[in-house]
Amino acid sequence: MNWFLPSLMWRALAPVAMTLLVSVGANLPSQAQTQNQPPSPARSRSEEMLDRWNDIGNKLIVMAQDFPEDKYDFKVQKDERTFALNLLHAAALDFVLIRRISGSNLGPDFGEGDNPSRDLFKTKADVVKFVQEAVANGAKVIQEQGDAGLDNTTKFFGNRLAHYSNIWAFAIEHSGEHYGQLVVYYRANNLVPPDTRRKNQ
Amino acid sequence: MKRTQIFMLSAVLMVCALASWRLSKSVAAASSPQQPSQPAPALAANIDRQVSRVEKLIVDVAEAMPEDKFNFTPESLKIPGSDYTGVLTFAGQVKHVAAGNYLIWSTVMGDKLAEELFNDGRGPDNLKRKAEIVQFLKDSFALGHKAAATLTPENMLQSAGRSTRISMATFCVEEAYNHYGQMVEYLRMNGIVPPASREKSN
Repeated sequence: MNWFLPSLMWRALAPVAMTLLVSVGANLPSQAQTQNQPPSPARSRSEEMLDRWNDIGNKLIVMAQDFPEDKYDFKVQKDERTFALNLLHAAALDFVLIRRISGSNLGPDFGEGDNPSRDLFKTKADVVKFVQEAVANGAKVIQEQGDAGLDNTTKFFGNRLAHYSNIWAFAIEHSGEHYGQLVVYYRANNLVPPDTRRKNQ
Repeated sequence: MKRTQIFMLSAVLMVCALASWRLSKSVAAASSPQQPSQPAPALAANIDRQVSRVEKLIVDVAEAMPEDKFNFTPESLKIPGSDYTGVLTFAGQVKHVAAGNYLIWSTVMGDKLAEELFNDGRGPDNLKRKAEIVQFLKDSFALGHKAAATLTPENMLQSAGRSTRISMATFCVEEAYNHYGQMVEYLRMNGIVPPASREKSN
């Protein structure tokens, strides 16, 4: 699912753009060659959602594992979250939404703003573990609730009912936003984001 | 004595009246249902809301960046220890989001994309001015709304590219957020607070 280019790998634009075109179904020879093969079975809605959840969640986990611990408190500008606080915030919001959807008390509750203090997650290992737990718990709930769960509704942002599918999408988008910020943090430290390294291999 | 009895009777009647009024008020409150929640929107409306959310954020950050900074890239800051060589400019980010929108939403609808709109992810080369680029961005989101309106529970799992229509739609919005996150950093690098953060701090 890497057909849409992360901007900071622009140096590798041309070859990746070609991959992108192939992926989205342009009429290129590689796709024509596969037309005679039996199609893989269609996945369910919840499997599709799980795929997207794990995709962005694992990108954050890999970043958390990859970034040097001595730079965990780095930030590009003064009025924003550090690298570690970005990760903690993304994971904390995941837990808020997981609790809402599952009706359980999974994960810690940090109150308004979903901004856990670094005092509670002092080491890189603590942060990595927290992000891993958020992604794993969300995946578990998506799997357990299946397709039917995506059509359930709950109050979301005031008095509006939202389908669980919409809330999962919101969590995925929110993680995507913080992922984008951390990509810039990487480059500020002369580091290449892991996903870009993987694609360039 | 008579005046005292009248006073006492009046007091009792007043207390009874007050109690009755309060009781009727609380019963009315309990028997009338709470304000009903707004119903959850259907699939197409759900995706459309997602498109609208990210559209507002990205259009707002694009509008917030001054035209003379549109070609800003962090590389120009020469931050010690950094390496932003060859990364997208701010304008490049905006055009890239728009080009991606065109590519993916066209795929969701099963339409053929006009190649000049995607242009290897760069968008049209001839778009240079802020107003033109922002309009290109807005037009790409208009296509997103159009595509979202075509999604139904019956067709959402149909194949689109290597994936399904619903997965492509979700992915397109998610990727736009990734670039929004980068654009936020570009704004802050220029001393500009992102519009969404201004709203929160107000």
